[in-house]
Amino acid sequence: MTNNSNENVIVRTITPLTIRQIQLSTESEGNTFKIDNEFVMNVSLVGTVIKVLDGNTYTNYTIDDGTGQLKIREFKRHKQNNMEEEEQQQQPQEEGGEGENKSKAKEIENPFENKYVRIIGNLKEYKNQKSFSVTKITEITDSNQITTHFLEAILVHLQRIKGTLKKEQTSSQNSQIKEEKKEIQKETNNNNNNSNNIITQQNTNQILGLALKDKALRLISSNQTSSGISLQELAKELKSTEEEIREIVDFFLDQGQIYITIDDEHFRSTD
Amino acid sequence: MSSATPRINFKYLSEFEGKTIRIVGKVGEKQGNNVILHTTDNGQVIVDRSNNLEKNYQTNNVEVLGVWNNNQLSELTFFNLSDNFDFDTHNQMIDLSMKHKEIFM
Repeated sequence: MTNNSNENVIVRTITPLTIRQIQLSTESEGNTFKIDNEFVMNVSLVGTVIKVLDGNTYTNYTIDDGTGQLKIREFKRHKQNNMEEEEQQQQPQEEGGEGENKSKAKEIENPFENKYVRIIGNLKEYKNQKSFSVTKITEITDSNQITTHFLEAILVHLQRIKGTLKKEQTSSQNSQIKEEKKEIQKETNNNNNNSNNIITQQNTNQILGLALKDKALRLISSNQTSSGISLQELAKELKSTEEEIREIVDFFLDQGQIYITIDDEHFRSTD
Repeated sequence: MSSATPRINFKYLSEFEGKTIRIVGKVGEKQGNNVILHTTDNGQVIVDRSNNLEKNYQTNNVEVLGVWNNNQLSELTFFNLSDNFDFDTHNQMIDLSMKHKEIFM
């Protein structure tokens, strides 16, 4: 949901992006950026960690997702920061040799180094530059998440450039799904190399499944009540079964994007 | 564009002669310093591992990052992938990414 007032722009959704898209993003008002003409703030990325620089109050990662490289920063929590200061005071100073240890930021063995990670973070402006601050970074254990992330990025990109992103309209959701299906089929029919459709019906449904996830997250994010939105309401709004919605919310609970409130059938977004 | 290392499969290799690319495949036969990689679109790529011999592939499916030159992929690094990796969907994703290069390279 986007608040289009001139001053504080609040974007509550998480946008799956490629680093290339971040590089191409344009600065907009209110310390935000626009991609495909939409405000983005909370972003998800998938890539490999190629460098780690560990400082006292933050860790800098350099991420490569195949589309480009990006430096991102994860601020350490206050408690952890104090513990590290105590440890440093107790350890004897090292002499000569590795002069880099004496500097504030140092390269250390990090469990994420050279691994695929999933990152949720904020894209902001800092000293006239794009700055990415990490909310959560987790190692990817199911490599299919790499594929699905890029499929999601393509889907959101296509939705934003080919169709207007209007707010949720319950009456037109069915026709919207039909239009998306037609667009995806049109894309595949333009391929001259292959007489068969590139995307089989199964994979079209896979991409549409991602559209359902996206819609579910938006509905959860837009609910401002303290008890959040219920599983039943989600199923009703999205015209889906409770089992399908349960799978979707379990995914978002694992990712840390939503949490349960009064019972395990009510959810709120972590944003 | 300069720092992009695109994900491709066998059929797009000719477009990336001399470039650094990523390719996913199932680990096949070893031939000295080379390994055969079976790609997601049923192609076979010879991977020259001379620059990275001290690290071994730890899974059956890997993503190799390297320079494609003269019908060989000179490996720079690799990433182990989970055994449940869906080759078919990944292949579809590569085709789609080639159709929408504007967000990939």
